[in-house]
Order: sequence, then structure tokens, then C-alpha cells
Amino acid sequence: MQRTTKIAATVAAAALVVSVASACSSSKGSSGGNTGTAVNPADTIKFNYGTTGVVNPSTKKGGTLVLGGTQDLDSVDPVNQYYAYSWDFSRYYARTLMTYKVGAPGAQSTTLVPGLASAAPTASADGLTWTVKIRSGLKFSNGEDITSKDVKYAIERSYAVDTVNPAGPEYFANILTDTSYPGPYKDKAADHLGLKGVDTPDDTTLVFHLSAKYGDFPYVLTMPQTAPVPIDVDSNPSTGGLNYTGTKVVSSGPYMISQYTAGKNMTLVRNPNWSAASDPTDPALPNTITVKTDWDPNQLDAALLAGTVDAEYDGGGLQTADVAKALDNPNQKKYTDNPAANATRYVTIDQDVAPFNNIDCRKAVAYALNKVDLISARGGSVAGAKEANTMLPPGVPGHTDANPYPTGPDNKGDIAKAKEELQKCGQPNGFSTGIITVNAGKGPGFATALQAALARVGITTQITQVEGSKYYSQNLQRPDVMKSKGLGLGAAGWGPDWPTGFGFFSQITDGRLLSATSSGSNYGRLNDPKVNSLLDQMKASTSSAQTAQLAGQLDTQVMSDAVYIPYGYDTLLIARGKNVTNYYLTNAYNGEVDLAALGTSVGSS
Amino acid sequence: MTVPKTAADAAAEVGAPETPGARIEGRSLGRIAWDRFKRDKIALISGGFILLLILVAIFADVINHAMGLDPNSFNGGLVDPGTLLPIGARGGMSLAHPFGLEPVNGRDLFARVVWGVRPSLIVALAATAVQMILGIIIGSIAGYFGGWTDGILSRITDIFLAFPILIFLIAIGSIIPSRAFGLGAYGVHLATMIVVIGIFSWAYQARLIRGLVLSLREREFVDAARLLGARPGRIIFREIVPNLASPILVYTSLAIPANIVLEAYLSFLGVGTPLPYSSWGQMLSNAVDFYQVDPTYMLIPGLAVFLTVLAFNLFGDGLRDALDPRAGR
Repeated sequence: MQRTTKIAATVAAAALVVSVASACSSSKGSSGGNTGTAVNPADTIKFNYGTTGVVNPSTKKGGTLVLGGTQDLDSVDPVNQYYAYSWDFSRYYARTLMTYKVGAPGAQSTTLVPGLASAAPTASADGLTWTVKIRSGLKFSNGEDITSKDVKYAIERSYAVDTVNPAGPEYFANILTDTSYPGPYKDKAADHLGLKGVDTPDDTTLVFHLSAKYGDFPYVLTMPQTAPVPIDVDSNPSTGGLNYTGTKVVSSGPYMISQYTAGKNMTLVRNPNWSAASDPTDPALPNTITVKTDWDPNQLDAALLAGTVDAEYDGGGLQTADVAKALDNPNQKKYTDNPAANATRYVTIDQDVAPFNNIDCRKAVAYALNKVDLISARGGSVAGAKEANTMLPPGVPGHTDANPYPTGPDNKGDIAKAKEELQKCGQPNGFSTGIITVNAGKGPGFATALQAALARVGITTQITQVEGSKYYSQNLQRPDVMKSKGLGLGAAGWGPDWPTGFGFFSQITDGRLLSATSSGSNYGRLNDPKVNSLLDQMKASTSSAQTAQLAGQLDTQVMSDAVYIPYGYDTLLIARGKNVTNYYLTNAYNGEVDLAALGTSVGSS
Repeated sequence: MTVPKTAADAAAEVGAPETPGARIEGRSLGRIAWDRFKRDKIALISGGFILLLILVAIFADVINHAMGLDPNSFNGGLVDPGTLLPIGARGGMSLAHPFGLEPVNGRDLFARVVWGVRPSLIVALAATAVQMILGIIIGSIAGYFGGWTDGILSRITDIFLAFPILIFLIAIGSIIPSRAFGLGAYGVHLATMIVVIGIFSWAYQARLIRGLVLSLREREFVDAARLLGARPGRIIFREIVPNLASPILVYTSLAIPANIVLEAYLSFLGVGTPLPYSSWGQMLSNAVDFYQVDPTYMLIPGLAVFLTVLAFNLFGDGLRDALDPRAGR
């Protein structure tokens, strides 16, 4: 999914930030590992403990959990969500068929477990039919029963790309048979259940019909689009369709939305019709959850470090100045974690913009990159990124430590090799092209760093800055625009939709998804038959070992095409509040905090 | 009967040497003003500073080359990779880098400040020129003719006075093309700022000029010119306006700092000088994120803007005192 970054303020509010680094209990220097359950919570308040262990473990229920962020969810309606943090957050009120284990930090955080489903889905021998049974006796927050038909209806809503799902994933439309289904609002069937790709033989069974083998299908069932939506509520024009948002969203999870003001705040309270007995995955510790969605980034950092906010839900991390302060102050540093965000930052080269149709010219760019400066522009070696030489990030099985375009012993660029490539491509004195970037946040810094690096080999560049909201839809994804503006180079980042090689590569490297007017997420317009064939093999594979091996081969092949040049694997420096319990970062949502696990140590029930 | 003046009084009045017996020379208005100006130390210092700035703007590249510094090259090795702050106290100040370094990319601040004088001065001086020329033309026509002409021009002046220039500039800034009329991005940005600032700021000067022309047009020399058959155009631009040289000069020197600040605002908001060229406003904008951990980065361009604006203001005051000591009392 798109890597979202915190929106940095371009107009500085002269906010005086007083960061209170209150020295509460100093952490005793005991060698606390996460050995079993007998860990003293005070020993877990350490720098970076949350990436491999649970910080401040506690079974205490009750209280009010205070969450903060600088952006609202991209959609409250689960069908239209594509941000990692929205997927993480919606587990409070939208229970999906499969989900990730809660309470398991580090490597275990991507363990798939049944959610709404009573057991993992089973596939037929030919892999084209998958059967899932859901638990019985479940109820929505409005008292209605949850049946398999509500789940089928929710999946049908993902087909309505002209109404409720303009920006969310469309995996079901690509995977299931019946590709021409127009969505439930144009459905001819009276019961709105006309999708032939899904059958509901009884109230607790779903049968999926796939058009081809798809080994990662259980991961697809973790998407919020599989959370049930009551058919009568959504069919009613006043509460359904585009009105199905905010407090009108009917919950199937442990909490329900009791108040919502778009772009400002949200409150969740316990769902009276949810029972812990029917949901072994959700601890649901707090009684109330309050969310403020319009924090100024610097003030949010101060609030987290002061303890007035328990956790940041949008995965943005500390701002640059606060990173410097936190790293230098041990009392603040112990309240921060430095997870890998499982996402790759790369320079995307448009093959249609001359002279990048010649692979040697592209390789010249690859050798000329100054990865140290690019990583500084992204936030530095701690809070920005770790150096990357291949596309697959370390958290995805199949990652290799290869380095097809070494940029010198200090990673500041191999000028000699770059010039050699320029000779080969017929541009010995360099050439001129355009860089496109976002005009806020880390965009300008990236562009100037790239410009300075390429200038050393004679490649002169002009920087075009555009607004964030127009960056993809009107520029990077539009081959005609890129070509007419002469934009050969762009900034891109990508994290896997689910933690497998296929989940990472399918959207950004499949040449068959390209159209003349849109590049989708394949900005470089890569269309390599070897890549496409490896993708097909990965798609059908049901063995994770085989998928990992294929992913490694795919990475090597994509790198040899020199259309995407990676330079960093995203990391974050993220602060946690003093009162939050059971805090850890999960690889399931790109290194963000596992919101479902959180509790609070203060406040009465 | 007139009281006979002493030799000293007479000398002081016409600026002649006070030594008795020396030849008394006639002094022009400019010479008198210059002598008065010379005595004002503050104005002299400010004038010298402005001259220095102009020289720096012209020779920015030479100066940077001589110091061995470049405004756009990165010094990633001089910045801590974790905190992204310059290594060393006071923002990385050292003999090699007298003003310190930029966080994140380690670009030298001395070179960037020196280079940044150019856009500030170019925009300020050129926009002021446009502004003054428009203001003089429109103000003097309105003041001289009166009647309908004055009525219409004054209403137009009011409209432009009320225009929210900052908002308009921000809006224009986001649609400036990267290339036009053979100029690169840098040239296009500067040209746009000059044209827009000039076109929307003339109203204040026009009002002032109009008032002055109104008071001058009843004077005898104007009547004399009219009687001799001079056409209005000649009267306005050859008789009246040259008499306004002093106030025009003063308004000009006071408009320049306002435009320097305006250019800094625009660069601060991101619509001014494009990447990667430096400009003081843009440096200030970046520095806001770092002021708690690297205050030097904000102080340096802040001081530059402050001193420049102060210099122009004091110079303008000194100029006004020298040309017409009775004004402003």
C-alpha cells in the first residue's frame, strides 16, 4: 500500500513546544529479556523494547485509551481503506475473516489466525475453491445476527468502485470468478447477493470460486473488506452507501464508534453485543478509546513524551528535531522504539522518457546515487531508513543481501562506474531530465539530494514540485503527463499489502496491469515477461518456502531491469506514552503499533 | 532693516568653508544634502552596508569560490547520521564553515547566505522600480488633472490598495510554470515575483505622489509653464516631478525593505525561489523545524534579513533628513 507519511506543517505555527521529559521510575539496569510471563513491567521501559517484546505487559482492564495522530483514517468505512494504519485501527470495530495474532511481538507478529472464521480456510485439490466457516452466535452492535451473507455482501461492496470503494484494494475483483459484477447497488438480484464468485450455502459457510490458483488467499481474507456489513442497513439510502460512515458504521468488533467528527476526533465505546468468549484474539482491555486526528506533529511528539497521549496510531514517528532531542536524552529515549517499517524507498525511472529507454542510462543513475544523503533526506540512519540495495525489505521472506549496483565503499556513489555507463548509453557528458516530488514533508529534501548526487556525473535535473494529493493520481500514475513534462525520475515508496513476496511485488511489477492511460502502482511501467512469469508462479504457490525462493529470484530480475532503484528500507522512531500497556510493534502493519493489544494503566473502569 | 549676518552664519547657510577670507563657492542642493548626510554617522554606516550587500550580490560566486565553499553541494559527512544535526557546537561553525552548516544535508550556510543576497536584492530593487514608476505616473496624472481623471484613477488606486497581495502571490506561486520565455525555473520565479509585487504595490506610492502633485500644481512656475504653452505631459514630467526628487528618493529607499520582507515571506511559504537555490526566507522556513536543537540555523538568515531591512530603513531616514530636514518633525 502507499507509504503514508505524516503531513509536516509547511506554514510554521509559532507553537511553543514545551516537552516535559519527566523522569519517572528510572529503569533498573537488569538484563530483562522476554522470558515467559515473569517479566517485571518496569524492566520493559527500554529503548526499542517494543520491536521484540511487549512493553509494560498487563492484564488490567478498564480506563480510557488516548490515541493521537496527524491524519484521520483514509476512510471510516472499512471497504475503502488502504492505509496500513487504517487496517490496523479498524480491527476495533470491523472483524475480518482472518486476522493477525495479537500479543505476539517480533517475528511472531505476522502469524495468521482465524478472526470471524472458526478455523483457517481450506482449499480444494485444484486450488480454485476455498471454503471458510464463520463462528455462530455472533451479533452486530445493533443486535442483528452476523451471518455469512453479511460477509458476502461486504465483499460485494468492494466491487462498487464508482461509489463506496474508489480508493481501496480490488483484490476480490481480480481473484474471484464473475469479473463483471457491478457492485451491490446495481445488483439485479432482489437480495443484493448476486456475486457468483462467492456462495453462502448456509448462514455460517462461505465458498469462494477463484479464476486461478492463489496461494496467498488466506492473507487476502485479512482485509477490512471481509468485515461483515448488515445488508438492511447498507441498502437503506439514509444509512448505507456513501452515508455508511462515522457513527452509522455497524460494528462487528469489540468496540463501536459512538462519536465521529471527520478530520478532528473519534470516540469508541465497548460493543455490548460483542462477547470475549466468541473472540479469543481481541483482548479489548480499555473501556473507552478517544482519538484525536488533527494533532500538529510537533505537539503530538510533546504529548506522547509527556504521557498525555498513550500511542500514535498513524505510524508517523517523531519529527526531525524531536528525533535529535530524544536520541540525546536517555529519559526520553527509553520511551521510543525504532522499528523497521517493512517498506522500501526507491527512485522510479520512467522508461518512456528519453534517454531512460536505454538501460545503461538507467544504470548510470543507479551507480551515481548518494544513498547516505538520500537516507538523511528521509530522516537519517535511525529515524529515516536503513540502506537498501534490493527491492524486498528484510521483513519479507525472500529478502537477499545482494547489491547489484554498488555505490562505492562509502555508499556515496560510484562516479567512475556511473560515467562508464553513460559512455555505454551514448551520453558521455551526461544529459538533462526532470525530477518530480511532493512539495511538502520529505519530498523537497529527497529531490535536492538526488539532484546534487546526479550533478556529479553530468546529469542535470530540474525539480518539479506538486501537491501530495496530485502526486500519484495526476502525475506518477499518468504516463502521458510524465512524458510531456519530461519527468524521468520520481520518488516512490512501497510496503507489502501482506507480508509475502507476492504481497509486495504484485502491484508494482506486473506489466499486465498497465494501461495506456494509467500505470497504477507500476510507475516505471515495467513489463518484463520473466517477471510476469515469476509472479504467476508465486501466485499459485501454496508453500511459503517456495514463495520465498521465487521472491528472491523476482527481486534479482527486477533489479537487473534497473527501473526501480532502491536506496532505503524505512525505519521509524516512534514514541509511546507512559501509561500505555501491552505496547509492541507489529510487522503485520508495517512496523506500526498493534492497536488491538493496547490497554492503559490509569483510569477507573 | 535686515540684521547683518556674521560671517559664520553666512558660511553655515551656504556650506562654504568657515575660514574667513576663503572664496565662498555656490553649492547645489545635492551637495548640501550630501554634506548633511555625511554628518549622520548611522546613515553612513547603513549606506556602506547596502553598498557591501550590492557588491556581495554581484560577486557572490567569486566570493564563494575564493572561500572554497559551494551553496548547493552536500556535506553529508559533517552531519550526524542519526540526529541529522551538524557535528560540532553552534551549528557546526568552524574556520572552514564560518556560519555553520545546514542540518540533514550539511550545506554550507555562509555560501547560502551570500548566494541568497541576490534573489532578495534583485526582487526588492526591481519590484520597487516597477512600483515607483507606476506610482509616479498614475499619482501625478491623477494629481495634476483632477476632476474625472482623478476620480477614476483614485478609485482604481483604492482597489489596488485593498488587494490582499500575499494571498494572490501564494495562489500564483502554485501555478508558475517551470520554463517560460527562455528563462529557467529560477528566472521565471523571480520575474513573476517582481511583476506581481510591482503591479500590486504601486497604490501606496501613487496616493503619496498625488498629494504632493496637488500641492505643487498651484505654484507659479507651473502657471508660467502653462502660459508659455507647455503641454500637460511636459509640465508634469519636466516641471513637477523633478521637484519631487527628494520625496521620491525617500519613498524608494523605504519601499525596498518592505519588498525584501515580502520576498522572504514568499520563499518561507514555498512559492518563492525554487529548489535548490538558496534564499533567506527559504532557510528560515526550514529552520523552524530545528530551532530547538540547532538555533544557529535560524539565527543566521534571520540576522541577515533583519540587518538588511534595518540598513535600508536607517538609510532612508538619513536620506530624508539630509534632503529635507524639516520633513518628519
